[in-house]
Amino acid sequence: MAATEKFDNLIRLHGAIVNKVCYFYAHDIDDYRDLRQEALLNIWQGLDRFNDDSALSTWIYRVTLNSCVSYFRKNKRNRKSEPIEHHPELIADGNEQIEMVRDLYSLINMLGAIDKAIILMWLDGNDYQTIADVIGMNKATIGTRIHRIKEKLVDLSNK
Amino acid sequence: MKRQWSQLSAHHDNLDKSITPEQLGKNKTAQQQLIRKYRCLAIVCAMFIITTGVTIPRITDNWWLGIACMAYFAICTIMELVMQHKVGEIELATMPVSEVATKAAACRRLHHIFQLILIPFALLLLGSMAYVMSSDEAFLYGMAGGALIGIVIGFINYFRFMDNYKLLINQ
Repeated sequence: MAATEKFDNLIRLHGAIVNKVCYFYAHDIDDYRDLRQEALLNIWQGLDRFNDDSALSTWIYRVTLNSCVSYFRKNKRNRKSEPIEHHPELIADGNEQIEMVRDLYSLINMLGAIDKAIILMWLDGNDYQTIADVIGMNKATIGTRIHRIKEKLVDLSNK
Repeated sequence: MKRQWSQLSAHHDNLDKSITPEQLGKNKTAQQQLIRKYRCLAIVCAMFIITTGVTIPRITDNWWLGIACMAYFAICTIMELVMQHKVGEIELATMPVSEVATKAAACRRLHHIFQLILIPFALLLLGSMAYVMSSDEAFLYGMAGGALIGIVIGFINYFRFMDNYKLLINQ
């Protein structure tokens, strides 16, 4: 399969992962666009290094999260971009989803980068071992971190 | 929360169709751009080792000033190369997220440390040059103007670099 075809298929199947992760790491619209472009570039350039032993979605998570946590941000001075939380429609359809994205963003945005990565993967239904592999921690630590993050989120949502 | 999230996943596929592999193939990642910046700065600094080594002995008899300038630019070159290497070590396609976050934060810290070392050294060098050339008023004015421009450019570049480095990490 040609690289462009492979990339197109991959984005069609797993593009939502890129969008959602970038949305929750972005501060404003420009940030979101830059992060997404950065993640897609890294996926495109890393395609030949994709190890077939891991699921494609897991690899997409790895590259996208790595792009977000390490992002060497482009010059932001003089930017007057709107906050990302004003645009939930970027990853949601319908009023119910839009409200949910707003609520989730306000909570998840209070977490640190690694905790954010863990909870995003957990929300997407990844098992502890997969999360552990992508994050680079052991399974037990991931279990403990998820438990603590959930407690923190409950505390935050009650405030 | 998890249930709501899965609904979101099922409904969503809004990727901007304008991002095509052809376009992506032409672009460089922010990491690649940063590596290129460090490489360019290393080349410029390496050129300054030669130019200061040649010009300073011609305008003053104080040979140590020429050697100090050459040493300064040699240190700058090494630091730029170290930064280029460190940023290049980050492998987004294969490394775990925690490792990438740690390495990126370490790069930012190292960049600060290098600047903290180089800025006082540069001021000391400028002061020494002003002292040695104090009899030549035109040279002093020229140097003050050059230093001012250098400081402004330095600050602009510093903030640009820091923007590039600003990690999305709250930890």
